[in-house]
Formats: sequence, C-alpha cells, structure tokens
Amino acid sequence: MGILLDGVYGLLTAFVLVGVVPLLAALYQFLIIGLHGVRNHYDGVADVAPRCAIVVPAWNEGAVIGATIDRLVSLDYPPGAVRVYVVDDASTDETPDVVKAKMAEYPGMVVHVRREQGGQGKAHTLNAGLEQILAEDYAEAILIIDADVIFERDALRKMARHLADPDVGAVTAYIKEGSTPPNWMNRFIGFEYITAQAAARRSQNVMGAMACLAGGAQLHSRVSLESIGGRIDTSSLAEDTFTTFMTQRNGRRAVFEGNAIVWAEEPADITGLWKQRLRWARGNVQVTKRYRWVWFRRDRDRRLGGFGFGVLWFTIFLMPIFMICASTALVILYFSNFPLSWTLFHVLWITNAIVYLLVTLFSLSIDPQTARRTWFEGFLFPGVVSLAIIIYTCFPAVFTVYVRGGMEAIGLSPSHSFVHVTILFVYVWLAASMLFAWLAKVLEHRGYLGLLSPALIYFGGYGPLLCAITFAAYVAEARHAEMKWDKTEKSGKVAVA
Amino acid sequence: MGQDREVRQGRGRVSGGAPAHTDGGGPHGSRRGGVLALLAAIGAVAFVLAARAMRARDARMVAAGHTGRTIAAPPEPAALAARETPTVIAAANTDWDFDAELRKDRRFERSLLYRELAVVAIIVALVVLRIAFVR
Repeated sequence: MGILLDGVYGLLTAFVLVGVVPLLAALYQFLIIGLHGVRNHYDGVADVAPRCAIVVPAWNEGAVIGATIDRLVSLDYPPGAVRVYVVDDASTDETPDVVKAKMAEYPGMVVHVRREQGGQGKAHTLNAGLEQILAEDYAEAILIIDADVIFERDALRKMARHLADPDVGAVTAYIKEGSTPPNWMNRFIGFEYITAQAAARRSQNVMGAMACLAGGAQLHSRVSLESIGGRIDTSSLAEDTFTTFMTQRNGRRAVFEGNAIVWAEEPADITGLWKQRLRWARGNVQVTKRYRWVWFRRDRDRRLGGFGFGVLWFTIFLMPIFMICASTALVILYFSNFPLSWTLFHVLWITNAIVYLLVTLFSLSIDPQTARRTWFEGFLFPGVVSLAIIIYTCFPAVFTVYVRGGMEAIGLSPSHSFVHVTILFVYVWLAASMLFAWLAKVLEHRGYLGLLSPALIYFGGYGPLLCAITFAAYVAEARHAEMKWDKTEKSGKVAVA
Repeated sequence: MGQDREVRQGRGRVSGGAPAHTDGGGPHGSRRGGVLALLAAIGAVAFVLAARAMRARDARMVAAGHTGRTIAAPPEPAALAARETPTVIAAANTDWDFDAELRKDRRFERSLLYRELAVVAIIVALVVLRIAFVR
C-alpha cells in the first residue's frame, strides 16, 4: 500500500514538475541568446543586392496599400532593383484604384496582379503573385510581406546581404508592433514581439534551426523558392511556417536578421488577437502533425530534428497541457499530501520567478526603444495575480507580515478557511488563468461589461491569454473546424510621418 | 492514520501563517523589513523616474508635432523613374555603407552577452539577498 502511495505521489510530483519544463526551456532559450554575438551569420554576408520582387497580398487594403507602396519604392536599395507586385485578391474597396495610381506614379516599379475570384486565403493569393514572378526573369530574390507593414529604409538591404551565402535560402526580419498611438493590447503585443522575435529568433539562429519566417517579412532566394516548388503551401493555416520548414528540409538555412526592422499594425483588441492567433496556433498543430517524423530525430533532419529545437517547439505547443497538469496535480496533493504540495508549489513558482525576471529584464534590454513604451505591460505580462504569487514565494513576509498585519489592523483577520481557500486558488491558478483570459474575450463585446476585459487581462495575464488561444486551437483541430482565413483588420495606424 | 496526521500537521502550519521555513517572525524580522523597505524605496524611485522620462518624451513628441517615429518621405516620382534597371546582382551604389552597418550590427550582437550577464548578475544578487535575509 505504501509503495503504491509513493508511486502515486511520484507521479503527481512529475505532473507538477512538468509545469517547470517550459520554464527551463525558456531559461535555456534566453541564456543562449548571449552567444548570438559569436554564433550568427555575419561571417557569411557580403555587399550584394539581388533584384528583388516584393509580393504584397492585398484584400481590401485601401487604407494602407498606398503608403506601403510608397515606402517600398523608396527603400535604400540600388536603383531599379526593386519591383512591387501587389496581388489584389478580388478587393471590393478602393485597393485596385490606389494600386493603379501608384503604377502611374512609379512607372515600371509597381505591378498589379488581379485575382477575380478571391477569399481563398493568403497562400493562394501569394501563389498568384509567385506564378507571375517566377515566369519572368527579373527576380533574383522574392520578398513576401503583408500589405500593412512598413520596412525601415535599410531593412531590405540588411536582409539581402545574407543571400550572398548560397547556403541561405531565406531571411526574416524583426517585426515590431508600430500602432501609433498604441493601446493596451498593442503594448502587450509590442513586448511579446521582443520576446518572440528579437529574442527567440536569435536563439534559433544560435541553434541553427528557424521555427518560422515572419509572414510579414520573408526574403527568399529565387533558387530556394523554386527548389520547394515555387509555391506556398495552401493546405494549412500556417503557410509561413510550412515555407520555413520546407526551406530548411531542402538543405538551406533560414536566418533571422534582428537588425532589419519592419513595423506592423497588430490587433487592437482581444477578439482580433484571438482570431489571428487561433489561425497561427491551428497552423502550428498542423505543422506538428505534418512533420511528426522529424521531431527529435537529428538523423532525419540535422536542423529541425535537434533536441533543443524540439523541446522549445513542444514546450510552447503543449504549454496549456503543462499548466493544467501542474495545477491538477497540486490540487490532488493538497488533499492527500499537503507538505509535498507546498514544497512543489515553491519549486514551481520560484523557478517561475527566476525565469520571469530573466525574460522580462533581458527582453527590455534587447530593444530599449520598444521597452520605453511597453515596460509596464512587460512586467505585467504574466498578470497581477501571477506576479503576486511570485512575490509571495520569493518574499513571503510581504503577505504573511505586511498584508496580514494590514488586514488585522482594520479588523479583517484572515480565518483558517480563508487561508485554505486562498491556497487552493493559488494552486489552481496556472490552469484557471486561461479561463480568466477566455472570460475577458467573451466579455469584450458585451456592452459595459466589455470595459472589464482589459482589466481582466492585466490581472489574469497576457501569457495565459496566448495559452488559452493555443488550447482553443487544439479543440478546433480536434473538431476539424473549417480552415477559415480570418483577416486581421488594418486601419493604417502605423503609417505615421 | 499516519498520513492523516501528516496532512493535519501540514495544514496546521499553513493556517498559522506560512510554513516554518518561510515564517516571517523571529530575529530576522527587522532586517528583512529593512531590506523590503529598501527594495520598495528603490522601486518607487525607479517608477517615478520612468514616469517622468516617459512624460518628458511625450511632451517632446507633441512639441515636434507627432506621436510616433518619423519615416523619411519617399523620393519624388521623377527621381524614381530615372532609375536604371540592372541586369546583374547590383553592387552597392546607394548611401548605404555596408562595412559601417556590419560593424554596428556586430557590435550590437556582441553587446547582448554583456546585457545578459548584467541581468543574470541582478538575479543572482536578488537570490543571494533572498537566501541571506529570508529564512
């Protein structure tokens, strides 16, 4: 009986410690970024500027497409070496008129590719442009972007220099959230992009395997794009990730150029973010299934099959499962072996505290410009509740002495049952935070209740919101939900001057 | 039965405040309070300085007539039309200084290691403080 009980406790301990795995993975990911100073691709660059065809998929982008074309033709790039192909996906707004006006304004530099039947998704739209580009001899490199992004003047030049190395098939840039003025959601996304792009993609450079070329800024050499069929995968919702994997599976490198800056307008509310990220997360489920024979198999793929890359991919992919496992095991242990649960709780959250500090402070230091406007959201990324738990586990006296003392001073001495309900709440929080985030999404468009949504995200956390979306992606894929391309609404807020 | 006792003991410790190993009382109380007060003071000063810096930056932007970054205006269409179409990979013939940019980017990438070491040093210092003052 005792052995059986020990076995059960061991299993529950393992479940709680599963919650530590993504934290350790994040720690590893951030620690290796320091090596990017010596393990980067700068030794392989040269002063080249291949003739570049820029593919801009556009569906009802009348608000932003004109400014986008203006910026693209004025990039700091050799004269005549840039041609913009706007693939108009049967737009019903003023997009065709704007593009035609720009064709007249910049003769020979803008091409209008019109699809009469649209709405099939971004990959189909891109393929219409690629078909025309690859049928012509002009392009030596193809830059795939989004209609709303704004390249800094030297961004393309910085990306293109990597194509001097024939081993490099594709290069991506650092996409930054550029809505002006930013709202609370824009600031969360701004900070997220430091961690997910400026930081994470540098660590992927160090590892030699790239998870995803940003859909809004991916430069391919013509030979690489042709070698993967000259087309973008249309069978999934993550066409950029598939292209990234196919490029690397074909033996070429995908490189992140963190000093090439591209500004983008990202969703301004939870509903918009949910739609966008659900598409991405469902795409990741599809990629995970499609490449199931590659993961952790270095003998099958030297880059994508690496152990470190696999761990990082799956810790993000399975994060909601890890959180639910850890919470559930803690609650079971609360009722069966409290001292063990209390110890494991501390192990989990003290690890969380260390990783939180490293990720937050280092991210802010990587991009001080973005940090100036997103530092508050950066510190509150896990949410006020999680932050309070982190503070409690590291400095318990803040609560056991000061908060408790304050409550007693006003005649609110916490009862025995209050303490236990609080502990149970804290144990459940890892999983419940996702529910909290989902509630924020549900309430967003419910009249005055919608005013609560931002507060719920600040309290519950932006990180748990992303986990909730990943969980929703599992459900959508399990139900074989329709693969619908929900376009992110753009208003041209980035186009400031 | 033994298990029941263990559970009760465990809960008993918590209901009395925090478990013994995280208890806030005893001779370390005043020292810990001092450290916390110091940290709170540092945090408050940092917050005030950050808020002032952000306000000053906003004021400068408003004075400059915009609320975001400035992107250079595109060149005149006539200048663009005069561009030639190259037939081979073009060499550098813009204002862009390849070597200078590469040196700058390499320097930034190398600086990441020092930034990381600084952050790790802060975290180690906090952990040492935590171990030294909170028993």
